[in-house]
Amino acid sequence: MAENQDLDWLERDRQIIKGLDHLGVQVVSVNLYTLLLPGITNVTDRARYYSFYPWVLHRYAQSGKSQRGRTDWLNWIRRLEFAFCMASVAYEVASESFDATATAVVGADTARRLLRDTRENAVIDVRSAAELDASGKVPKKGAYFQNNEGGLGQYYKGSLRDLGLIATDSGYQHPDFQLTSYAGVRLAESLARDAAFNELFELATSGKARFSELASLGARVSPSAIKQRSNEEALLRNLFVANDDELCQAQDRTSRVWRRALVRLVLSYVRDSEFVEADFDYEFRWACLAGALPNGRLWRLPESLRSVVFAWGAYQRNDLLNHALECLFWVVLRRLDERPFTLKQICNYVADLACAGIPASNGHVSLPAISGTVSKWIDSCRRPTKKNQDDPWDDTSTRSWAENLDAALEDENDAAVASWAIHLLGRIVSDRGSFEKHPFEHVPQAAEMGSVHEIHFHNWLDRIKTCASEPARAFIEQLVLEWVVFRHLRVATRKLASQGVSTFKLRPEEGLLVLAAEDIPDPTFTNPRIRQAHRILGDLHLLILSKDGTRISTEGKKLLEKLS
Amino acid sequence: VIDVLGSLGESGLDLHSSIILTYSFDLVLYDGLIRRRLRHAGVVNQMVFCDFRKYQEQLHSLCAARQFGRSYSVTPVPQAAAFHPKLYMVLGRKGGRLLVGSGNTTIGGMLRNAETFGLFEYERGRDAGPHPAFRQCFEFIEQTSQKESDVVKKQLARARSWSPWLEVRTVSDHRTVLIGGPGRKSLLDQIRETIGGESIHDILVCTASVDRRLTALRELAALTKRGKVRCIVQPEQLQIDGQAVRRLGKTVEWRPFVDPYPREKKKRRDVYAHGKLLVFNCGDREVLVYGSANASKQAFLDTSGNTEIVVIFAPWRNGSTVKRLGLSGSLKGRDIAKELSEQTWGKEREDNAISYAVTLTAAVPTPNGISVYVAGGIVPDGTLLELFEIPGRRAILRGKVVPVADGLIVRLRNVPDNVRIAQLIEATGELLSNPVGLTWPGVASVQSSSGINARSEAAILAMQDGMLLGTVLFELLDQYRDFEVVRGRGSRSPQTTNQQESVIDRPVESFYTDAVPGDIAPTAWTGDRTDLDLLAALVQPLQTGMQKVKPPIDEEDEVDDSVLEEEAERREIDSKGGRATGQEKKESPNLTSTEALERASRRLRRRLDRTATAVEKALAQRKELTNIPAAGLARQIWMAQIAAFLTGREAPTSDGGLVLCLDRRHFAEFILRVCRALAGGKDGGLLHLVPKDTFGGPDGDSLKAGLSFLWTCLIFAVAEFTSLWANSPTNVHDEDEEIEYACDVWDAVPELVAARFILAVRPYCRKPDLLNIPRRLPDWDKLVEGWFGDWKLRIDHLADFIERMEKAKDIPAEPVQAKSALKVGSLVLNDALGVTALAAMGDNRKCYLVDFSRSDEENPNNALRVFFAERVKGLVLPSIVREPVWRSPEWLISESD
Repeated sequence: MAENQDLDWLERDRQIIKGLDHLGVQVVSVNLYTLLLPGITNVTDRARYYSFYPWVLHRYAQSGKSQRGRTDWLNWIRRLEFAFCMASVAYEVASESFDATATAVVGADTARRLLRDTRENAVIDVRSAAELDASGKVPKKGAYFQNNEGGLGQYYKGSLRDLGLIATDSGYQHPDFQLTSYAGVRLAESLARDAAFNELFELATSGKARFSELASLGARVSPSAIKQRSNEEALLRNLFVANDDELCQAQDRTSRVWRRALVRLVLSYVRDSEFVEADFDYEFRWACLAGALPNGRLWRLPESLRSVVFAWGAYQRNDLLNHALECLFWVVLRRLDERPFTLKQICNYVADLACAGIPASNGHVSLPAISGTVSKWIDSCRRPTKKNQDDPWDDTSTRSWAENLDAALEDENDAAVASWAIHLLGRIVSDRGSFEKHPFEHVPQAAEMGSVHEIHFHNWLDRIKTCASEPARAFIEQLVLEWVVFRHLRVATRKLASQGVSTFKLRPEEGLLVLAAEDIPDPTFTNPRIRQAHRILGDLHLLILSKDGTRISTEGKKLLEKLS
Repeated sequence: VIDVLGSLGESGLDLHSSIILTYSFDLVLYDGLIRRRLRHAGVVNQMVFCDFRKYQEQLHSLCAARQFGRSYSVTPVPQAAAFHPKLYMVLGRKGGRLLVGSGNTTIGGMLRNAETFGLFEYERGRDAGPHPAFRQCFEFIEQTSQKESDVVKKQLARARSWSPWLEVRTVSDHRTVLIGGPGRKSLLDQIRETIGGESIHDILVCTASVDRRLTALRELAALTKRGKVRCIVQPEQLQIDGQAVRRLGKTVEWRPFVDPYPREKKKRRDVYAHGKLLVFNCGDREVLVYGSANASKQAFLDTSGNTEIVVIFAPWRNGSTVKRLGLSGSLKGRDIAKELSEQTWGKEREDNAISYAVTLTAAVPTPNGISVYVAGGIVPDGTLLELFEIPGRRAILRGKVVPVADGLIVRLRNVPDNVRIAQLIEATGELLSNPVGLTWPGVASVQSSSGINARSEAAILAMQDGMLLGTVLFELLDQYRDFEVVRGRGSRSPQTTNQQESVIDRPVESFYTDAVPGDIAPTAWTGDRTDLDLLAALVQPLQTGMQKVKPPIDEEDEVDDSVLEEEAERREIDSKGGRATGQEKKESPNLTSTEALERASRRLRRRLDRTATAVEKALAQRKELTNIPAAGLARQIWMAQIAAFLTGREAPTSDGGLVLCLDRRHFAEFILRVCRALAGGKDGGLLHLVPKDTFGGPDGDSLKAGLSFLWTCLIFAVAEFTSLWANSPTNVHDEDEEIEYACDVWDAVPELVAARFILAVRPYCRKPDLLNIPRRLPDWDKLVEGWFGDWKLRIDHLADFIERMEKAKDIPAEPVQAKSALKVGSLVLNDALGVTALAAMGDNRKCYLVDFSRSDEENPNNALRVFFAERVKGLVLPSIVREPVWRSPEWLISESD
């Protein structure tokens, strides 16, 4: 027996992390958007990296050096990536205009800092921040990016593989992938023929340049500088729209269909809206749920896109379900922050708040208290059909209710949060979207995916149906108990069992629930890659992005017609 | 520190049973974490005993504890005071572990709080003998369960019979376990007896709870020369009456607990000081007592007080305890008597449990209804048992409670699967008893880990999601001519693992490929989503359209949360205003983690189970099915191909280990179940429902090829199962008083299942498929040399014999006239069932025969048919035919009773 094992303190959970998805519902949303928009991720924002990285490897392969090792490859990619970044940022600084030149460019923070501290006409070091240290590791300080392989290793490698530009190479490790002849090489060559990229290579090799030289180069190589009607642009468009069988031969067939459908849907949305202000991702999600455009007109879609918009609407509803449940969880945790309570007291407390009516305010009319049965409560949350026809976005809309919930969160008004969350949960039962048997039926494999999860939109509708005749108050109490408190404990236990991380935000102790969280997590929505798709379509000149909003380009309209 | 959770895990002790005694019990934690950890360590026999009142509180969380009553039993212990021990015992064939301490089976008690524990450990071969504490605690648990359900008693009996070392000569050390509770001497008296005549100068107390009048502290002080105790408490958590503090005055020096836990960077807000200690200062030596007992009257003084378990150390050097546990910080603290004296005795935490006229401790579904166990009160005539899915919801079933010879029963035809809670009510509808969770008898009829050590049990495991599956698919495609197989270019040899700084020659063309996924040679294959989807589509369980397939109940525990990594990374970047540093995501290792592989392996096992269950259900509904398309069965055969490929294969993990994809026993079980359902008996199985003409088409070719491979696998499975049970420790060592029963017909008489299968497939297949067999079934050559030929011959002879018997007009067999002439397990002949096995003999010359064409998961004894002895013929087997070995399934035994 080990020393001291006859008496010692209990070993406590060591890896306490903040974590996310504390109720295990977001994982369903994430799975849904992964199915709906495959091939990119929500950290792969710029189209040009899909040609840039193949070019980097192509150039490395062609460099003629026969003896190569890990350090050769890492230095190669890091130097080129950082030179690319420096040029892009320099151009952004010099041009002072909004075209998001260096948005989501890997290493942009370090580049901005370096350029900010540089005197005019001084020679700028574009290499040191990319260098590995003597032991072949990325230095903890001063490096433009901590991942060995830069943004390729951190963000893009998986997407490049999914899109068939590279393939895993089990024969070698540095790099551990090969360029595909039918896609990767074609993209790489489209840049290799561009003189600007030869200059970029020279810059990375020399390791120094003046600001003006960098800015001048950045104007031609930055992610916003994909030339119109160039071969690169055509290839990238075909790659994302997935309408070139030769180029996309390694892509999964279903993925191609769904990504193309999303491109069509986004272009249609912007065209039909004429102009989309502000946060595109946010507007688009609500449009899919409500089937309406920002100006209040109904969004009329061709038959072939209807199931796509229904699918995205189902995703948005599932995310709303999660958000509302996380809001109830937030109320529970804030209550426990005051002192421990029994489970019954907590469930009572939330149910009391949730069932109380909502007084009128500037933004909305009053809502009556919840009483009677579950079906009565659901009916009370139903929006009159005429209202939707008159103005999809008025103060009775689901979106308006969700925004009221967000405002209550912002105000830290626990009563209003609980009440709006429950009303929103009630609303999505009637505002359930269009489907025959299962809200996820429009998404391939999604219903099967959902079947292994306890909580998602379909099961919410089922639960309401099963309990329609029960008293609403008791139903809400039970909901908090099962789908909030115990659900959190179950999910956190699962994470502890499978990942060894402790994410408990509350826990039972001596018959009471106690708060275990250092910070109470804010309720959140997932990030469904729409922002990245929007940015990529802008880079490819299919959308015109400006500070004020988004329009469709002539090229975008043409493509849309072609795809239709 | 003591890693309690770790101590319950993998041990090398070939673990099979666990027993936990606790006051509070967190059902969600147990179900989601501890149960799984124990199960992965090989523990198939899990028992929990907890305080009756705390049990009632936990029933609310049944919705989040799906395995309650199915994979483990939880027994509420009713007594006047609290059932308050904290004991964790895991038992294996080679030894065991016993933890005694202060931590309940809750998040606090096992993960968060300041708790103290001590470990006892025994390993056969390493240690001279087990500490007496093992036997002492086990016997205490047996006493505690005397009035409990038969299921729990059976679990305990199994635990004991599988742990023969509990009986060997014990070896004591400096520790003695003391148990207090109803019918025993007070704990303080036991401690005084153990200490003997030592003079006590003072006492140091650590406690999380006290009695209202502080009687225990006063009594302890009275034992000391100085008439004083020092007491360490956590003032913000302690329930105490300020008046009593004032009354005691200087008798007690109160000190605030200072958490000495190592490695803590910051104070956690929810840490409760829950450790319980008494240190008797006897001059230059001291006596330590630790365990579950707080410094309260109920714990130490009352003879009918709490049940408590503590450990007392033989005297050791004065100051050792404080040093060991780092309590000097607490002792240096200011006296908090004034602060405590201002507190009032809150009512909030007092026991508010509803009391009932009858104390219900268990409800156990049986084939005839539900057995009900009560520990107190009178059950009046007309009492009803209500059954619920969720507490507080409407009852979904009710039945009248009737007395029988050995207790109470509610006769019900069917107990639905979703029923989880039972409660007694009076005929008037008034509540009569507390609610209790259902404990299914399956909890106690799990197979022991005999024949398979805990390590392989724990590692029943893994298929590497991407690479291995891709390879499997390729291999499968390679076997069938219906699929065009395009070979990619030859693979290069992978470089040595450490390429950290090696510089190598690399030709330019090595940076390019014209291959698309699916083209690449098997060894270089990594697979992608398309192939996984294709594979998944191929191996869907058989759907007959007559059953609603329910998702497996434990599936969500295996959800892969890694899909959230992308989301987490985006949020991390957004939270920093878009300033990404490259540290937002950890680099993924090239190989998959052990956890992921183990998860994949468990998924594979579940998939196999689902597939086998689906064909068994289809067999059960055979009479209602008109036909089965060949493709429907071909899918089950694909699954057999996959399972075979993974049996015995080990996948490398990112931490340098290996994970076994699938062990032989599970593979063999799957094959036997599927083959039994395909072949059925004389009356046929699912294969008989495949239209004959389809065997001529392309689907038929695939099916025939698959059946030939199943034939091969089946011989492997019979050899594996027969030798598994022949080598079981129960047979080898004769150390088990219990008989180990078979699970089902396929387990009871695997050779007969195999012979039936061969008879069914012979018209279509000429011989077993042995093409490339070591590659397709890697465990093939792990059995003794020549096994295949031997077993094939034995089964062929048996099949020939059956065929001859069932076709012959003059059967060389005599009607069985006398009961004594029949032996259970013997082959017999019956007109309807053909050659089959005699399962049991009943009254009035009734013979229970196994009907291989029948299957009923809900009620397995429906696989039996009853005939009078006149219609059953005993068979005389020629010397060339060896009679199959027979192991009775448990339900057959109860049927014959």
